Amino acid sequence: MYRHLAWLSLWRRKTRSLMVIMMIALSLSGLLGLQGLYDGMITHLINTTIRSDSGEISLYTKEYRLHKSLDYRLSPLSKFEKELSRIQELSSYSVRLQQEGLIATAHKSLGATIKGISLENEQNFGQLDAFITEGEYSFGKGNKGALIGSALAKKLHLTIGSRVIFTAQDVNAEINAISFRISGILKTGNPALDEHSVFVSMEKISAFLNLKESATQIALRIKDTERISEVQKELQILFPHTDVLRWDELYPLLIQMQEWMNIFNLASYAIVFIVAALGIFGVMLVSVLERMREFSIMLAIGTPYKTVRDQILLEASLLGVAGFIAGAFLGWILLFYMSTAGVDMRSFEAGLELYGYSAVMYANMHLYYFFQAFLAVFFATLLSIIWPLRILKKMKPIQVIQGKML
Amino acid sequence: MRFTLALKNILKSKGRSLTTLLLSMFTTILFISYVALMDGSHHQIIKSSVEIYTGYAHVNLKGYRDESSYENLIEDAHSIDIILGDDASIKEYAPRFETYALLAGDEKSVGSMIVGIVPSAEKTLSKLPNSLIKGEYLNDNDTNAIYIGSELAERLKVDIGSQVAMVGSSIDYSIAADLFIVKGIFKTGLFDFDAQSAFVNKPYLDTVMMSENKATYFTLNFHDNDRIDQATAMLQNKLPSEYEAVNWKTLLTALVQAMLVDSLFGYISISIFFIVIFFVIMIFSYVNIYTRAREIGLLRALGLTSKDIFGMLFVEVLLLATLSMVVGTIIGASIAYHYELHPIVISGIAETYKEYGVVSDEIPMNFDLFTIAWNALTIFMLNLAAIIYPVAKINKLTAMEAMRYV
Repeated sequence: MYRHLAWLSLWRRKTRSLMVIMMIALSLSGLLGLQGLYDGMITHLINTTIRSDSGEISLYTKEYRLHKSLDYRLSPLSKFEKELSRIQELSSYSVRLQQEGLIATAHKSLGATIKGISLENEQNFGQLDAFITEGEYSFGKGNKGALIGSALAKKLHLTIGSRVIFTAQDVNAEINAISFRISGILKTGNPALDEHSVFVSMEKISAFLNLKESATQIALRIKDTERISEVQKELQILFPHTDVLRWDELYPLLIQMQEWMNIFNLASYAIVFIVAALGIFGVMLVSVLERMREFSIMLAIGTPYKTVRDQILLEASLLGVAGFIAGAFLGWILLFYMSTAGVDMRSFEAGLELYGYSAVMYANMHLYYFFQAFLAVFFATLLSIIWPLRILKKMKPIQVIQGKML
Repeated sequence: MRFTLALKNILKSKGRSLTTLLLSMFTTILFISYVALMDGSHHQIIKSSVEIYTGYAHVNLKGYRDESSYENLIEDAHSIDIILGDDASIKEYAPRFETYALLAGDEKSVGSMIVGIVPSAEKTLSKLPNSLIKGEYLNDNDTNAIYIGSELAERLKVDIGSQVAMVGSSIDYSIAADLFIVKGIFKTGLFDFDAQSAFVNKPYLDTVMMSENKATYFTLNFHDNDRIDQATAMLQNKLPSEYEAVNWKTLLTALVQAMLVDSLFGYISISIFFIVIFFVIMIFSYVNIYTRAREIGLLRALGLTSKDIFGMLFVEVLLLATLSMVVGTIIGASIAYHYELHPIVISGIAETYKEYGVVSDEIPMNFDLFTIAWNALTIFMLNLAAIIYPVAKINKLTAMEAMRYV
């Protein structure tokens, strides 16, 4: 019976109930939209970093990351490749050889990094070909071509077919120069690559740097991302004198950004729903106060307090659930739109690219967002009825009926 | 009479009035502090970029910013020097010659930005001299002395007294090479800048690069950098037509845009909070007004018009909103002022976010009266807007309907 009473009471004051439902729905959909969008932005950064550079795990010699010197290179490569081919958990790997130097056109020069790669391996590794914005994914005839980061190409005013000269020290500390024609321009979203990198064939750079069977980095993709730590340990045993590092160890800022985002989301939910609880409280308090006689009569004729309490609880819960359903639906529409059509921020492209964000942002959508939102609404609802129930508990039914106390 | 009635009503429902008052006050404090913190951190990032090296404004040849090559040099630096010297609005200025070259230590080479500067002039124009961490800053008589960034020194594995070879191209595109001795090492905190930049006394670098009486641009500070748009426009009128004066808003477009996007997301995030506050105030007003429906009906029956009722209820909310705005603004502004003078310190934040241009662990707030005023007014208007619906709804009832309202 109390269920029916709760339902009727709720619609006795339609406007009040609708205001609470709208408050929950609008704030919830906004929070869901922001959570998905922020999550999507960070996921994009992580994905492009893994695809274009770190993989899930990367191998370096112990000193390389500190000194960035060819003296600290992985060699002989065949030894590494032999061992890696035996590891079932790897889906692909990419061998890279890089050196810092100076890239120059006829008119301008800039500091840059030259990276020797295998196009086929990189395609399997992170679909590097998908990042091509101009030209083709090829080093051309005789491997005389180079792919270049979009921001670097822009700074040097390079187009497809432009000639560049790269100057750097080889393994013997001799300064050498090599010339390439630009065959493709890449936009990975990873500022380190887009602003500073030139990709050339592994054979060409090995000859240029006077090296054989050498790499500065071997990046690995893992089939099951849940097993990254296990594979890392396995690799560390296989290569005890090598740095075996996960992407989050190589790019700690990304994981820190993700953690900050989670804290921000939790704090937003907490602040918004504590205030929302006040709104629900306002409605529930008035709703209880204006029915004091009604509740007193119920209690006086023998209705257990528990039934009255459950009725109030149910009223608040119905408001919360209705708000949640409306908010989750609106939030879902918002997230669906932002995850498929994206949010076009191309008018701020330069600013976003500065930090590696995509100019068209796509939101993520996960079931746990809705679960988290439900918990927030649930706790806000519970919080809002503590005080009204306390008043009801302390009430003296006979005195209220006699009109002596209200 | 309206005022007395409103005051009585406010005091009659103390709980609800106090909740509304506290909520509005808290929102005002939160909004002012949030925006002050957001603006403060953005201003600091931009200020660091401007004051450490870029400068408030540049004078360069038109086309230089699109293609910063030797084709777009200031060919007669002396004539520009005279124009800038005669401009009373300019506080200080100096020419710079920026180029890129390969710097090589004993073991390693790195493509770097080499800048010819007037060492004495940079003491007030930039933070280069103050950023010295080892050795000595340059002087105007130095010849083959080089002042390099700490990260660059690490990459090149050089220290004070080490020899660094430079290979680049002079302005006639012939090879320019020289040996420099590291005189000083600086650390500005701008990670990319410290990792890529080196400075040489301009008159000496000019002999190496054959760039006597030439400059890539002049950097300058105005006496009143707060009115930089007008100052830049006035300077432009004094320059020959082939030259342009641009200020930091143009020079750092990407950074300005990035901060704008960050602000945009900040406002979107806080707007969700406003939605909840708006609804809570509206619910409280609605409940408050409807619990007095009979009283309002009686007043209408006594001859008060719906306009009078609106006026009475409006004065109530006006009193509460004004009080909350005044107290909230005083507290919020005090917080902003205090933290502008004594910034919040988060240890390690500069190291973590160094790639994002964060140079200090201190995050100051921005105390700006105009910003504080519009922040406070926004919350004030939100308060007033929240009662429109409840008042309109009660005014739709006739006197009899209101008196019979249960």
